[in-house]
Amino acid sequence: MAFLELEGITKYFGQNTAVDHINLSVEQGEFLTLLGPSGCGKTTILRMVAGFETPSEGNILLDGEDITSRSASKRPMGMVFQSYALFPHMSAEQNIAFGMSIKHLPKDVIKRRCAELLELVGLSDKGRSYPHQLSGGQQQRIALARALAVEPKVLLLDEPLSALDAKVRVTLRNEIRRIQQQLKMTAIYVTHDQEEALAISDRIAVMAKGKIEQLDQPEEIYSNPHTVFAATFVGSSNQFRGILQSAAAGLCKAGNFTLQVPPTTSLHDGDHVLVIVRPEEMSIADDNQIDNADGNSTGNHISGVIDLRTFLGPFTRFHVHVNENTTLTADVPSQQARDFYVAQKVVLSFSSKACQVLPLEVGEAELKRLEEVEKV
Amino acid sequence: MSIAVQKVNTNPPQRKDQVTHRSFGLDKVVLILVILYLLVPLGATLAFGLGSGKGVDLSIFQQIFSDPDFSQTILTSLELAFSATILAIVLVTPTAYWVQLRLPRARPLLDFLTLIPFAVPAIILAVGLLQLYSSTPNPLIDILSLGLVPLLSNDPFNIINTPPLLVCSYVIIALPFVYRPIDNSLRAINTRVLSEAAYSLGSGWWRTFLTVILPNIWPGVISAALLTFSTVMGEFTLATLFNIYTFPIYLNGVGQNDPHKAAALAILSFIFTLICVLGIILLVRGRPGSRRTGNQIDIAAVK
Amino acid sequence: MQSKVARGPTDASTEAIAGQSTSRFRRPGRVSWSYILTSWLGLVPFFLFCLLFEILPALIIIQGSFADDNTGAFTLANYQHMLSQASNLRAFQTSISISLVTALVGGVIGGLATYGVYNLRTGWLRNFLIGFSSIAANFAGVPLAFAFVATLGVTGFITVLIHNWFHVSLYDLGFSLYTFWGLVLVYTYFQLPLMILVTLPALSALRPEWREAATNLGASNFAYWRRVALPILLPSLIAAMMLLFANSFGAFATAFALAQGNINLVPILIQFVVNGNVIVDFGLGNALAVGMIIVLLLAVSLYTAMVRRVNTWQGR
Repeated sequence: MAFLELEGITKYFGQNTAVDHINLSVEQGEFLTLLGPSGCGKTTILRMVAGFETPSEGNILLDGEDITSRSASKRPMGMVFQSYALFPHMSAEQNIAFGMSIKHLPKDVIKRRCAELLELVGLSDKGRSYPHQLSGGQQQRIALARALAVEPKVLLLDEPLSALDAKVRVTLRNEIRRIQQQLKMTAIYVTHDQEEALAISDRIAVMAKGKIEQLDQPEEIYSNPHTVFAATFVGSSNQFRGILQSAAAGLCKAGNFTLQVPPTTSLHDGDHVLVIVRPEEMSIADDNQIDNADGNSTGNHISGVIDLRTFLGPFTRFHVHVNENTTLTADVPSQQARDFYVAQKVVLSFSSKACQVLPLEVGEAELKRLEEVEKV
Repeated sequence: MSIAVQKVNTNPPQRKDQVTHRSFGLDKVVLILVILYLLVPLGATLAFGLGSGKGVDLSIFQQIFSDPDFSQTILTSLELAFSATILAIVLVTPTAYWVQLRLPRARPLLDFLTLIPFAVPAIILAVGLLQLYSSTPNPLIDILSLGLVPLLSNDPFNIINTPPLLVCSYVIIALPFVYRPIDNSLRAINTRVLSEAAYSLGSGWWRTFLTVILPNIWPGVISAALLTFSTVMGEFTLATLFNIYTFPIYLNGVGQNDPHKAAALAILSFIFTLICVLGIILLVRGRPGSRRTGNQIDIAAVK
Repeated sequence: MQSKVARGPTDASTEAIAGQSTSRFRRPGRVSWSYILTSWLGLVPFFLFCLLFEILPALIIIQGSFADDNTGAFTLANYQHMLSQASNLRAFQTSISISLVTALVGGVIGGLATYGVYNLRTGWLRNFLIGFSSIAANFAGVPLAFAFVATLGVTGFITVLIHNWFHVSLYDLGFSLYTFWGLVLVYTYFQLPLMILVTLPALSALRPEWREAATNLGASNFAYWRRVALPILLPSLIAAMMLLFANSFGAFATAFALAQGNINLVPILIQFVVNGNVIVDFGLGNALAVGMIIVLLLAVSLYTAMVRRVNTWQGR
């Protein structure tokens, strides 16, 4: 039995099923992220754990105890909100002290603990400041300290960084992770930003439409997505839609291309599949040079013309126009990218191992879902 | 080994925003009492005015409508109301826009000016205006007003005790309730960005104001207009002191002598106010910028 | 250093346009004198209007209160006159009392009623009540006085009803619409809805996350109200009550229509000495008016201070 168990958690809002029979086990000290687009149910799950929503079905167990029907004020959870939710009429220190004073802890204990927490979040000199005098990042740190003050068993964070500037977001997410590890606190984190999720989580639950698509460590989700949604939502990807010609040999026909993919036993000949290739797996070479090479038949080679060249700092992204429906993306370390320019004819190469093959239900609904995700 | 028992909550599907408001009931009780308190005088007035012991008697309205003073004063009041409303809107709206756009640091000054009517209510304003535009010479005032006050106190522009002076003072009285909705509307629609977009496309100041800004702050303008209108229609203090025969003065005169007619006229006033407020609500609902103004339907302090 | 809390979209956009060279909107630091001048010139019509009809009247009152009516010489006689006569002082006392009482009654009862409106789930009922409050608040003045006469006057509908049903004569028991408490009853009629209209936005500004955060930290419903909601609302409530006070203190028409001058209130007194048929004493009128202005300024200052506090907390 894990530290926090969600069993069959379901939530209906009218006709809408926001959360669909979710089972989730969170280990003690784990940093679990619920990742997904808006409306996928991740915030609803968090609020049910916090006690602000009641599950329509299912149970929540904390350390073996069933807390499903316990009121929110009696649950040992600390929550950090997207909008910080600091009490405007109280100073930072008073905000942090709030939970402790509710419990009627002695004044000196409260004072000491406030000082400790202020130091933990790096704002020792801001105890007397009021929320309106603090920046967004500072307010969120105080909110974090406030949540930690009551020594919760689980820390719940509802998109805490969405309201902050980009640079602050990066600094603060590392702070949060550092503090969580230092305190060995169990944390559930909700976000729609996949980069954030990949950076700081022990495990990620990728969610869509109320269901968990994949629950795995970040590296696994990135390199071995199990569903089309997980593959397309996390990280960027090149997509080929096609039919598996030979599962054993690993051949797939997608449009005009025949791709070499890893042999698979879970799929069959004739299945509709989606082949995903990450942009950083693609290498780029000048078209003329390849002609002179010994025409290596291993791996995949696709010719095209560079359409767009975007310098992104450490690497450069090339959009390569292959045919009228297909533009591929290749991320190349900037050092190597110097020789390439727009309108150059190139060849993109990627090994079969770089391909991830996922079954594709070619129904109307599935295609629509993919289109929605692509738009995002 | 633990046995997980599946407990299925048979709660009915709940609303997303269901917060556990444990309202202790007191607020509902008080609300009901307040509503009753507000309704009872209306009902009683209606009964008193129409009934003369033997059922509903509408002849009282006939008497009222046939009174020549009634129509004369209604017309006077309507004229004053229209003039004051138009003047208020024309004066305040461009000013509010101008401040929003070019002089945000003048905003506290404007806030101050629109708060003065709270510290200088109608009765005091009347006393001041009476003295200001009487033709008694007053060197300090003459200088401060850049010579305008003497100009307006003496023929041919003498405005003491005239409708134009009344109209101008009505605008001042209504100032808080004109400025606030318009200012709120301007803030709600992100005026500066819209204006800059219009300028960058080649539109001049007036054109931008009339074709870009004004249509978007319509709810605020309408609110302000209707509030001014209903304020003026019901304003008594200034008219009394300036000796101008408006509808509320007529109402008072009639009502002192005949309580039944008074009640009937009170009902008429109420219906009129009802129409004005309904007008605000209907015209304001669902327009851009109405989110903020909708809840802040200001009141015109007519006492 | 730390950046201030973002103000909103307008600031971001002005930064973006700062580079433009159109002279219309130079940002501070590159502003020309002519730009500033024309900016202030644009406000001239409005300022002039306020000057002529708002500021100068106030000034002349203050000036006139220190001047002899006939000679115009400087004198304190008006104030002496005002302060020496007991009836004048009583007028102030009555005015202040009635304003305080109606502000408190309106504030407390109205506040509770506002909470009731705020909690209403049915949208149309809420909008209806807001609309109705607007109407009721606007109904003040002469019609309101007559409405109350028709209701609770000597032969008022309710008076008669109570007499017929309960065989009790209100006026024999000492109740009268034309006394202090009668006037309180009438004034409350427009104070209550005014309170509702002004406080409802303040309640709506109470963010649900604050409640959730408090609950999450272990606060009971009572603790939330006592330690979070009410303290946050307090400035708004005080501001609202100051508004009610000023509203009541400056009221003239309702009292006048009700009792014609038999109630000793400062506005009535002013009208009596300025426009009445008996005597005309502008000097005294001015002194009384200055007294009123001082009281009202106190109320408005408190109002402004509270509103400023609310705005600061909300980061505006």
